[in-house]
Amino acid sequence: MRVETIQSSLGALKSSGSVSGVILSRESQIIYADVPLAQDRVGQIATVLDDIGFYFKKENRKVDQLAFGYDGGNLVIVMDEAYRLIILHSLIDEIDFIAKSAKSFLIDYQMGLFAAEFEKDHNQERAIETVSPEPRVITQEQIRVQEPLRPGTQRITLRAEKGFEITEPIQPKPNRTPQARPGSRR
Amino acid sequence: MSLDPESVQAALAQALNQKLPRYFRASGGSAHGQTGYRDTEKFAETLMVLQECALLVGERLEMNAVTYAFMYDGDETSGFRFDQTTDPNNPQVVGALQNRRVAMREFTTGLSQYMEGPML
Repeated sequence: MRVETIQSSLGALKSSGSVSGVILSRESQIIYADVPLAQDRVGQIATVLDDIGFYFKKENRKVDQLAFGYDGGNLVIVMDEAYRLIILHSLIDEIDFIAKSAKSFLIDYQMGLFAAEFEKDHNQERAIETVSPEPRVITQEQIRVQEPLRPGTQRITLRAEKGFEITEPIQPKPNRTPQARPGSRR
Repeated sequence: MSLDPESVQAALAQALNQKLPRYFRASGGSAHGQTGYRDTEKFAETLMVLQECALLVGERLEMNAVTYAFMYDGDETSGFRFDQTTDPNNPQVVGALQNRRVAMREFTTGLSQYMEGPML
């Protein structure tokens, strides 16, 4: 998904209601952040959330939404596998609306990634088809009929253009007779 | 005050069947509810996990005073909030477990109503 698309969607979310900040992360990696916080703080939040996600996964709990309230503001965290969307807002009444929007965004985002991946694979397949050579046509020239040879038979090579061609006569092998070895006694 | 085990079981069964919230009150390391020891223990565990998570995230945001924490865990909604009407030196927490996903706003309203009700 393009950065502009993320920016546009999350920008709309950020400008709605009492939302003051948005962070999108994948595991502990920040994908997008627009919050009134220092960069290292944003990174720390993503790491902490990754730890929290790991804990719930380890405990086999399917936690997909968290909401925290503090004396200075509220936080909604929507989790979908490795992706997390964190939204800072000031009105507690907006939790459900914000969470719903965040979930919709995460679904769209992952669908976008899937579509991009699919398109990439499809393009690669097309590229392979374009550069691949002409399909091989086996000419009759390349076909040779070979049969096990026996003494007294002849090797025949089948050539389409030339017809049957006797290439070499097979001579029967002479019978082996014991020969005296050099230095042997008679 | 100990509750009759049969009425406790009946209260738990009714709450689970009707998917109603089971409310709890906690302070100073102990929790109380009306749906039995195991259910209260489950709430206490959820409370600890949520409080820890809220504190960990809050620290990074430089917001340390947690006022509430809710979560959806599968088909269950759980959470707590501090009772502002209690003594700040010994604050009490009111929380609930509910075996269905309810809007968090609705969950908060339920907790507020429980807080305003008679102390148990």
